[in-house]
Amino acid sequence: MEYEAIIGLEVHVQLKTQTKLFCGCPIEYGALPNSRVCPICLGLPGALPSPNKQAIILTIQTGLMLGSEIAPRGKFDRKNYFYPDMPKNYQISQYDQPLCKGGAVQLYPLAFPKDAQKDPQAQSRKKIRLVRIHLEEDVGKSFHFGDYSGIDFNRAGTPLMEIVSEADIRSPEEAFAYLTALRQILRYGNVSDCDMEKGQLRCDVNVSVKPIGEEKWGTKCEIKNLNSISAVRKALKYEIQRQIHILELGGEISQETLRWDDLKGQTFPMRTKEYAHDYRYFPDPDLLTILTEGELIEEAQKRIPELPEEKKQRLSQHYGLTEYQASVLASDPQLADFFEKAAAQSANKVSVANFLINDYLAVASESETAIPIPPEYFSELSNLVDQGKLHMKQAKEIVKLMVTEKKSPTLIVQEKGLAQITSLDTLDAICKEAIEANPKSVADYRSGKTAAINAIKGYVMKKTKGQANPKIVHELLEKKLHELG
Amino acid sequence: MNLFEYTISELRRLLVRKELSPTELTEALFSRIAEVEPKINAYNYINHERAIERAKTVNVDLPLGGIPIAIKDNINVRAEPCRCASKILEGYLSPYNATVIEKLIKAGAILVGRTNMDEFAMGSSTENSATGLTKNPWDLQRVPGGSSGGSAAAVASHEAFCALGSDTGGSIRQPASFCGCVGLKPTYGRVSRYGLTAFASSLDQIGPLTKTVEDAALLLEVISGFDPNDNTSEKMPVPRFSELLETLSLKNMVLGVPKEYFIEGIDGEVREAINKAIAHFESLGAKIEEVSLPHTPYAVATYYILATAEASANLARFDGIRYGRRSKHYEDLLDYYGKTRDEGFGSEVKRRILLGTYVLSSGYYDAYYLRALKVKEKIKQDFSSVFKKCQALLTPTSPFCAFRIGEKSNDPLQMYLADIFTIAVNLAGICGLSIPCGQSTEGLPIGLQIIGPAWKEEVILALGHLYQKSTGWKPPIPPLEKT
Amino acid sequence: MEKPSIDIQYVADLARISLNEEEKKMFGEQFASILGYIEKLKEVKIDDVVLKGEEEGFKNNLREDLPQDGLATEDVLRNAPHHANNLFIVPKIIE
Ligand SMILES: [Mg+2]
Ligand SMILES: [Zn+2]
Repeated sequence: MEYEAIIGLEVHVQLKTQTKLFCGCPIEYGALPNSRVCPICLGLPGALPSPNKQAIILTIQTGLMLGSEIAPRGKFDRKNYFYPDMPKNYQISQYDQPLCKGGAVQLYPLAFPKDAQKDPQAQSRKKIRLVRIHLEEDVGKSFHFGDYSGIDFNRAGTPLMEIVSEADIRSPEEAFAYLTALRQILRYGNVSDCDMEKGQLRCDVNVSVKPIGEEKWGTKCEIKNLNSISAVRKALKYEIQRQIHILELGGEISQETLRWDDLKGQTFPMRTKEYAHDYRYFPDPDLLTILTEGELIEEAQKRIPELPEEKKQRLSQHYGLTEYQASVLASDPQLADFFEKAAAQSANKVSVANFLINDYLAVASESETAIPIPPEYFSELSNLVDQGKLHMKQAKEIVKLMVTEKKSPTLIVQEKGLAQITSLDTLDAICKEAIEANPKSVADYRSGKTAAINAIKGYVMKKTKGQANPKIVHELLEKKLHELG
Repeated sequence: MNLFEYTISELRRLLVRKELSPTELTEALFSRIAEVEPKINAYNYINHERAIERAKTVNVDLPLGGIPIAIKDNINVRAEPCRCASKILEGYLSPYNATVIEKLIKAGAILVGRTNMDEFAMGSSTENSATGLTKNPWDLQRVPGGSSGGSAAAVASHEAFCALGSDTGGSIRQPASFCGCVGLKPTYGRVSRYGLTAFASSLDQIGPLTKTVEDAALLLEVISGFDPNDNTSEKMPVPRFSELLETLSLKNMVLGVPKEYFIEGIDGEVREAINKAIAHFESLGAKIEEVSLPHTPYAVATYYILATAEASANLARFDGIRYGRRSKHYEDLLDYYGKTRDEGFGSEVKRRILLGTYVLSSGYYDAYYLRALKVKEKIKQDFSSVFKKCQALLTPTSPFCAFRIGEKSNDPLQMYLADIFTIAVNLAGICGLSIPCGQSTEGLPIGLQIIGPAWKEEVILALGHLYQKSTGWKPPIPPLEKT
Repeated sequence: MEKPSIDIQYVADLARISLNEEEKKMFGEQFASILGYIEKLKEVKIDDVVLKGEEEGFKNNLREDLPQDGLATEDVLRNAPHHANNLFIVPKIIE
């Protein structure tokens, strides 16, 4: 029997604000534990929340970019449950009046994992609908030791946007593409850096399977707290197979909350004692409703940037790039910005694009969010090649060195003595030597086998450790061979 | 006259003219405290040294320069306990000042200590206190009312010139009435709640307890105003209440007497005293009109749903992780929560947390919480419609005088009904003042409640001041005896 | 009128308060009488009430995104029943 998976995602995205959602504590990753807290985010008696305008604007902006309907009134509610990392033992969230309702994320081929970009599903340009987007506060971080745990509340109160999709996703690859496309838009809007290593994008996944053609959906399981896009794909692949396997053996899926163990590559049921999920939501009496119409929506509207499709068109027209090049660069607004800065100072824009796409991205890690070197390095590099001071093979090597050693190409060339030999005097002497040292090839050439020139050229290149400018050498040799009469 | 008998306004004159130094004044108060406190137990914490240090340097030209003040134990003062009369906050030292405390310090007040209360402000008798009960200065076998019973008893027994209390359903006005002092519940949003340990966030307000209405006006002026740290505080201008006291004319004034506040079960002597006070206003030229607030009978039930629901969440933070008392014997995390909170909270607090948890729990929200929100709206509408024809309302503050210690403590519902006349004011978000208006034959004070529309504190204060001036009110010295 | 019943154990679990049998019995009886009293709210006609959530002329009151100083670490940890290495220590959290 053939099965299909039904998948829905809840994504928590850390908003790009300077301060927390309800207090002025700075958001700082990796600070000393409990050093970025105040009476409010520590839940001290008497402290009251004070909502961050920026966080609300960013959420509305996200809704506008994703085509959601913006609620005229936003309201905060208390979600009640006890957990040591939650200072007030309730989370301020939004229940029945989220800031944004509906909307969608459109998938595109490049958003799929590289090995699936040729699949029909990657070509379908499917839209994944959204249920809602709401704003809530993050909890603290727990560390586990022998028979106790330790809590750091620095993260507590960080603004999170929760984006809930409809169960429109049908495969782990689509889930991957959905997250990639979503991340692209969030980064476009400068709403979040979505840096997964810093936990800025975390994901809960709901998944069930059913035989194709069957109307009724199967029992779903929830995999909690996945913190990378590839982990979502791997966890789903595993979990779908696990569920199908159970059904094939005639078993039943039990509704469970699961945890993904990336090292073991398996999902495990969470060991938390199953308590009734009775969150007793009610409107937070410490917070007034938020009127979105007017100032807030207008400000959000102003911040909507050029979106991926427009950017792609512009890049390809303005810089003469291929559609493929333009769409790779446009996939990430920071990358596109980087390219435009580099291209501005270089004579050959296409070669800058090629270095970035073929040489840099090929070696950059998935989680890398910012290119660690200035764009000028790429302009310099492309200009060096253009001026004939480097040949392509060397330039490609230099891209790697630029990134690992964080040095400019000029400096690398100097240090490694990689510059091409273009001096006519030097090359003339070596070419003369080459002709003298290869009488057989010279004879062949003169007898009409012009390809024999390559052997003589090879001698020059070997002699100069590849640094001789091949074009000049070729011309010099031809000239000399003709002079021989 | 002893120094401790003075009102703030009288002391201000002496201090500004340098006829009295803040240190002398503070020391005089501390000797009164030393004398009376063993009988009353109004304070949970006294900081003699800190007060004297401050008295030495304070600028007497400030609005409250050199005036000692007592603070209810649920308002945060940096480096002081803020126990809320609870076992669960044993040993807690607050690392920050409430907004009202910042304002008092800026105005030159001297903080004397923390007054007793019902645990987390839940109660009407100050019997629910982990630090022991406070006695009524007029009869030591009776309760001072609550929850701000410590503040009221301290002011009435002249152990404090003035105090701050908090009022969620009558917790300033009812003890003021029981002890024979003045208590004001400001309009919701008038005074910042930042730093007030929350009981029911949508109803809580901090307010003054004083010997005279004039003093209440002075204190309200200092603590009022918009605070960016309290999202529910309002950007309303703060009138100079103390300067507006004398400007009132009763000539075109209509005072309403809501018939639902003169129900069966109201004490005969209370009824008589209130009627006398009403007649007094009439004799001064006010027009008295009977009005109706038809949803009054539903106020207590509405209150016990909304207040307990909010409290169940507000008190969830007391879990012994970041602060407070932690149970010593537990098996795992779940057991640890349960035991810490069982051992740390008193019965009344547990009762209200459980009730609030229940009314919010799955399947009950609409029937209880949502319905109560809507009835609250009805109660609000009742008041807006009567305030179209009258400027203020006159009612008893409490249906009876101070009751005996232990008399109601075994029947929560009877205790809840003690707040029957004060609760609606909190639900409607408006302001109310309680002033002494006579005594029972047993010598127990009776309180008159003057209720005003939102943001009209100047009206109820002026009315109260007029009453006190025209009746020649002098804050009496209670006998401090068992009767 | 039928007295509403209340599952004390369920509610106490949600509220994280361990109750002994005696307390359960006492609260059970008291709740029956309090909830009986609360039943009278059913008499009120509320169909016409619209909960708007804000007053006329209401304006947003939001904070600008500007960092402020928080608490000194000693103030943060002073009240903690148990802390080590700047962390608040709790019984083992099981995930
Ligand atoms: Mg959430
Ligand atoms: Zn903070």
